[in-house]
Amino acid sequence: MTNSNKCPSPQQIQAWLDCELKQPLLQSHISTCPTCLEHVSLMEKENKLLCDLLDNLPQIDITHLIMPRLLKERAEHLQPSLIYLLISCLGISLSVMHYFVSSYLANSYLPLLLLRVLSFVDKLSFIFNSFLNFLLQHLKPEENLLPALLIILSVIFFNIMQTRRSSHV
Amino acid sequence: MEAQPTDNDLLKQVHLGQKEAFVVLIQRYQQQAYKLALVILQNTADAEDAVSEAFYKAFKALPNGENNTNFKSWLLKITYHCALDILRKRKSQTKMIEKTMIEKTTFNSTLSSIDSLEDILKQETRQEVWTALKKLAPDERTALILKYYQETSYEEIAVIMNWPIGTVASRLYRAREKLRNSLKEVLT
Repeated sequence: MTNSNKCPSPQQIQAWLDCELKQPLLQSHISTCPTCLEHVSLMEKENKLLCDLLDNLPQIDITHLIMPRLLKERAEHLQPSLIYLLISCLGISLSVMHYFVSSYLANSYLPLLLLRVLSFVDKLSFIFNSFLNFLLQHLKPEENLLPALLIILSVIFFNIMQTRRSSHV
Repeated sequence: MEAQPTDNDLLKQVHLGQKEAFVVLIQRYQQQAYKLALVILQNTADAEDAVSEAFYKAFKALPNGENNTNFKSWLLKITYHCALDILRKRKSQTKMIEKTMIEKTTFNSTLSSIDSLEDILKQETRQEVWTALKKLAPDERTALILKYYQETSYEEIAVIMNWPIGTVASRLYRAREKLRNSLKEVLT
């Protein structure tokens, strides 16, 4: 707006009314021009009608709908994490046990006992694998199974290595 | 009087595990989100679903409140998209069961408890405004509500609606013009 005598476009008046245009010249023109004031008054009336309608629309309270859903989601999210933790602990403890027990027995002179213990460890591995299968069946399919699979594969790999090492002895 | 915590304070609390803070956010913005969804969907049940879904999505992707996030705009944007999703699903359904429309549930229920002639006239005016609003496209309705009810700036509308900022003023103007044409009798 360079010329204060020239009426702004209705779109400019709207932007001014919406507090999006901060032009002093425009403001001084609108506040004195009867045509523009008529526009402003009409727009204000429309705004009032809209606000009146929306003020009288029904209200809701959806807190009771959302919060149980969110809490359930959080609980479901925690469950697999605990299972992963359990799997990791079991895997690590079994691997450590397998390594120390077999290496101790490999250096001893009790081959019979060695075979028995190795057989016991193998059985334990079998039970562990069954347990893992059981746990994995109870996991949600969309959960990321990569950590559990990595642990299983590493335990199996470790078992194979240890068995091979023991058999060489 | 104790000062109300800001949205960013509440977001930080939610991140620290205080779920009650999210309840405060829900209570603070649920009416605004609901009215926006209602204007787009024109159905109370669908609007409730859209708002519920919007808050659920908001919680799952909650900003941490560190970067002065405008939670209101962000939530309204999610609500807008959830409402549009429902609208799209509704359109794709070949056999759409006519659900209870807003004017039946809202206006008729309150009409019974109206005493004075002035109230009845007001009610009729609201009915006409609602009918005029229904004639607009969903995005035009949304822009009007965001600007004149939620008092959102053009910049925020541009973010919520994913429009260039220059387009906001022209589309708002066009929507108002259509509304004005439909409401000629009420406005004169």
